[in-house]
Amino acid sequence: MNSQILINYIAFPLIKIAILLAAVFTVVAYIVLVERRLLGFFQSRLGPNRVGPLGLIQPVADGLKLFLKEDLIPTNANPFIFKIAPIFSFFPPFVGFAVLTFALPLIMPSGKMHQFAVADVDLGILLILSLSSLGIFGIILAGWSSGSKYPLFGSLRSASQMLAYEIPLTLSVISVIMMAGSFRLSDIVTAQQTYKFYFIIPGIVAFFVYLISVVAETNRTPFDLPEGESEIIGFHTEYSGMRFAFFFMAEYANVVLICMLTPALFLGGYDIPFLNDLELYKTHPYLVNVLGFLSYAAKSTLFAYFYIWIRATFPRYRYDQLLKVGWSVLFPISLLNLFLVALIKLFLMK
Amino acid sequence: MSNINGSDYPSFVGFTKLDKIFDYGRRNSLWPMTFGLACCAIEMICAMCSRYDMSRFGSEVMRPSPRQSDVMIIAGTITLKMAPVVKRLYDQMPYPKWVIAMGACAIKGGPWDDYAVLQGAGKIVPVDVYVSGCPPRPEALIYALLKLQEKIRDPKSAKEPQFIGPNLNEPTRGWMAKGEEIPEVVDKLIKEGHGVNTTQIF
Amino acid sequence: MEKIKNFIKMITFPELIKGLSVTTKYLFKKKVTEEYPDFKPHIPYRAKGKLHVQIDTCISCRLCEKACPEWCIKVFPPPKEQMKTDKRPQEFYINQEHCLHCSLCVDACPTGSIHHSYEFELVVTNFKELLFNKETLPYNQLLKQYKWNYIENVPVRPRTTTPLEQKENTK
Repeated sequence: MNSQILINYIAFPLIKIAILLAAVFTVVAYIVLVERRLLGFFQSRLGPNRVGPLGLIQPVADGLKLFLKEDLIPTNANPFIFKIAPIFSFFPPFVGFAVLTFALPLIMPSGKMHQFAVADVDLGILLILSLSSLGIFGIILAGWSSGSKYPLFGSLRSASQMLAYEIPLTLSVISVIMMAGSFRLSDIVTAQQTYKFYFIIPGIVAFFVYLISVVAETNRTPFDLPEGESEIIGFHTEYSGMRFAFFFMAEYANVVLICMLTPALFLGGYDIPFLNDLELYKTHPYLVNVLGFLSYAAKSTLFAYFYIWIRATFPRYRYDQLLKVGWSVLFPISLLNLFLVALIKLFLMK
Repeated sequence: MSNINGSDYPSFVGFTKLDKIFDYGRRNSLWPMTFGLACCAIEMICAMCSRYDMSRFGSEVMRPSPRQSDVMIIAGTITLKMAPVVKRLYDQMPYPKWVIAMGACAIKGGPWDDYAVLQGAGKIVPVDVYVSGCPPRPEALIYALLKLQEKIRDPKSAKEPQFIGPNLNEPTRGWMAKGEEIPEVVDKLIKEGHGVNTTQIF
Repeated sequence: MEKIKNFIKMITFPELIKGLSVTTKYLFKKKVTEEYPDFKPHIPYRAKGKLHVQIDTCISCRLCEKACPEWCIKVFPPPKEQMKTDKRPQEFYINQEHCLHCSLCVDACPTGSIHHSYEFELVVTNFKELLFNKETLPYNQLLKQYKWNYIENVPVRPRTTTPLEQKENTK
């Protein structure tokens, strides 16, 4: 009895966490390389291709260098908060991966079902939303504790930007939750499978609002005002070495998390297009698992490509335009859309 | 089978110093600082652009903050007003750090042998690689990056110059040496608070 | 009708789609990067590289030294007795540290023994290596260690013809 508990509640989750973390770290390291190479292709040049075959060792070299760099703490800084701020923004995206479900449950020979998730909690989407707003603390603390005015301005910009875009983001996600009737991510996907249409069709407006506000939420171009590499100096100006690498990785982990969340909400997640999954699952469960995971990966890659694509295309917004778009365009649209989706849910989706 | 220290190892086992692996990481991600002083900066921008793509060597990540950059490309004339700022930016960079002096002005003041221009970046910061030209071609800057990578890989290769200096009766201009003392004017400006306050940084 | 058109424009964002299509077009286009250390870069016809002196034809007149606005050329003529028979300089220094590649010395030379070559890789770790003497002026020995360089066949920049000279040639 005791050994059963040990296996089910400690050993199994630990193995799952180890596999997931290894996969996520690899993806986060290599999405940086993919982005740098793709940006090169968009600008009609080659991108990093010298370090190893096709530049594949470039992330390793970057990581090594950042790890070995001198760690500076300015005398004006508050050392304790300065040290703890990167961890604040590093952890939330990585915790968020725990609630993602990657395929339909695996049926063991003994007849037991195993979820393809570390913890498929029933408030999954709510957890991700609250974690993403927890990430702001890292940025604000980093800016405030640096003891310099430019990081402080950067973090203030970041705070107001996140406040402006958190609300349309949440409202558009709520419309999905209303359609599915559950906060659990696997339930949202199952609802799309049983309705036999993806939530992008009734929630097209919510989808676009979500797409825009998520870019602002992850501090990516064209809304990268908190960082603003080239002219307005960002919140991690005073950070060097590994502490800077934490911010860097947190940004890309956020991007990967969002790229995996978007298909689950709007494009049916691990649902295989043009196939009746739930029917096929009764006869060939393993085939559906593999194909479902592949389709989920393909959809996520599509969104990752989309974010790099818009980074290569659009220039940065001015600060007042950014807030104007957030409060006076996206917020009312998402609010109206909520009523629309409620009507659709009431009369059309039975 | 090869024999090392009296023990036998299979031939695929290789031995290296950990420092070599560290240097591999360091030399393959040299992030330059976004920092242009004069017309040479235009050629520096060219070196980053599509035709002479410096990103192939993993160094297109132009960092705006000295805290995150590894190599400082001094591209242009260093006026005496700007010299304390250059020195301060260099001091703000975390170790290990390198400096590339690009163009005639950064090497030796160029055509400006006058009251307003610092006669070479070597007077205030230790320079690792000199790129001659007015301005140098973008390829020359990429070549300088390769030379710097080689210097990081094997510091001995850049130890002593092969060429023996001339015994001129009247030298064309005063030589400036690596690590020479900071000229009086810059020193005075620094003391007046125009540039570095090293106690504040470290 | 106008209002409907404007409304459609407002919803579909044609500008954004146009921008995205431009970047997609460049994604699949041929890349313009010249992979420099592996392949020979395209050097323009009038590019001015390192100064290159043919000591055999030099007559030690020191006109280049006087023409140089940067004082980076230094010529040591031979002793007077030797000058009658052999006018080649005893020593010839060019300091490429602050050479501006203005080619005033090239224009001043009466025998055409000083030219610009297309050699541009003047990169050193010690600035004293940028001082070239009689032995190192014609060929840059520092560049020999690299894969590709111009040592094998140093191209000499031909003297440019002024429009006036061209007119005379056509006559």
